[in-house]
Amino acid sequence: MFASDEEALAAAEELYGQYLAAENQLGAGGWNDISLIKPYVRGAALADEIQTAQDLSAKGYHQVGDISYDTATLQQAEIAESGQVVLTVYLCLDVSGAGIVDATNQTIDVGERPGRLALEIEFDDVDGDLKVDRSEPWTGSDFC
Amino acid sequence: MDRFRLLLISVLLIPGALAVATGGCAPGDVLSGVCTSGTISDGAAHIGGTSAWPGNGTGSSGHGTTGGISGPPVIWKCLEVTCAKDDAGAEPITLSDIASFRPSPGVQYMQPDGWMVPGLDANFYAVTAQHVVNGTLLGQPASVRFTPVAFHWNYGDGTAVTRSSKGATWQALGIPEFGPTPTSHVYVTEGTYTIRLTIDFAAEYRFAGSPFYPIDGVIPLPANDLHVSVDGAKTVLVEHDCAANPSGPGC
Repeated sequence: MFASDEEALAAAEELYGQYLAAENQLGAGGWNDISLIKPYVRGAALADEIQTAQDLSAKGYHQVGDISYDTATLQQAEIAESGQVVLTVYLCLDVSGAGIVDATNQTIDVGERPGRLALEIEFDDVDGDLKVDRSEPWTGSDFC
Repeated sequence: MDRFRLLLISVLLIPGALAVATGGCAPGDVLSGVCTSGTISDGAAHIGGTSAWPGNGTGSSGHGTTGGISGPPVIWKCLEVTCAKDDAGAEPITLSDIASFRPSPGVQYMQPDGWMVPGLDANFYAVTAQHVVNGTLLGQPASVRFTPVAFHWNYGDGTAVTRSSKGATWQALGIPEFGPTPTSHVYVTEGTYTIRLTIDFAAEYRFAGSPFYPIDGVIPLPANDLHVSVDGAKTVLVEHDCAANPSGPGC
């Protein structure tokens, strides 16, 4: 599916960029339209997204500003005999430019939440359709 | 690449006010301060948590069981939705907690029971299955699901193998006594042997109704030892011949 690690990482980054754009749109709309991110996420990561969106939507919150990412590196690319590809990527998620406001546009205090967080993202393809399957905090050395 | 992790879940736990954490760490989770992860060390799966809720100035207290985990127990000291919507001006108290979960050990058996014949297969098998261990973390239900994934047999005669199957009895496999099975072993020399089995368990964690999330690594857990003697075969009389009882001993 990919001719090189660079090509695999580029595909993962392209998908993750689209995913975050949809995620920002989802949050800006009050986390009401989960269908926005479904083209980019599946499995455990999607279940997580749905529950989080339901929680925030029920409170009448919405997102202001955008979440972004940088410093993506490929941890590994696994290609099964069946041809299925699983990519694991480290990246820095940056939420410093985003926040949550309530229905009256009052900013929700973010306390000491970090603005940047190292994540380990797993992408897998099903029948050639690459999506985010797992997203977890990376608690090894902080590269962000 | 080394995937060592220091554990830790950051969770949102405001009873009756806030949603609890799900597993994983989607962008929206990071934004709202809700992420989870787990780790394995010292023969146990560990999940931990941090929460903040309105303080009353009297200090904090933890809940749940504590485990032997080293490393910082807190990722985020304050979870913003909590502080803004529920704090009402009071300083939040941050609680941290760690829950440790251990799998139930498996048990190994053999056929024949306690003796073997040189040159013939002895059948070893383990009794174990996927199981869930429940506990609490910060007063919320937490579970770890253990799945046996590898079986390391040391037969005591210098042979050690790793099997993906836990094996089964000859009867369950439909194999005649002393026939080869995926987990059988042939001793060539008479003597007394100790057979040791270690089972690797994979672990997944669940917190407050989230899906199960895998934890990196496995937990190797010894089963019981078997002490057996390998003796030469002796001719014995048994009831009926093989024509009359095809499933009889030695048929």
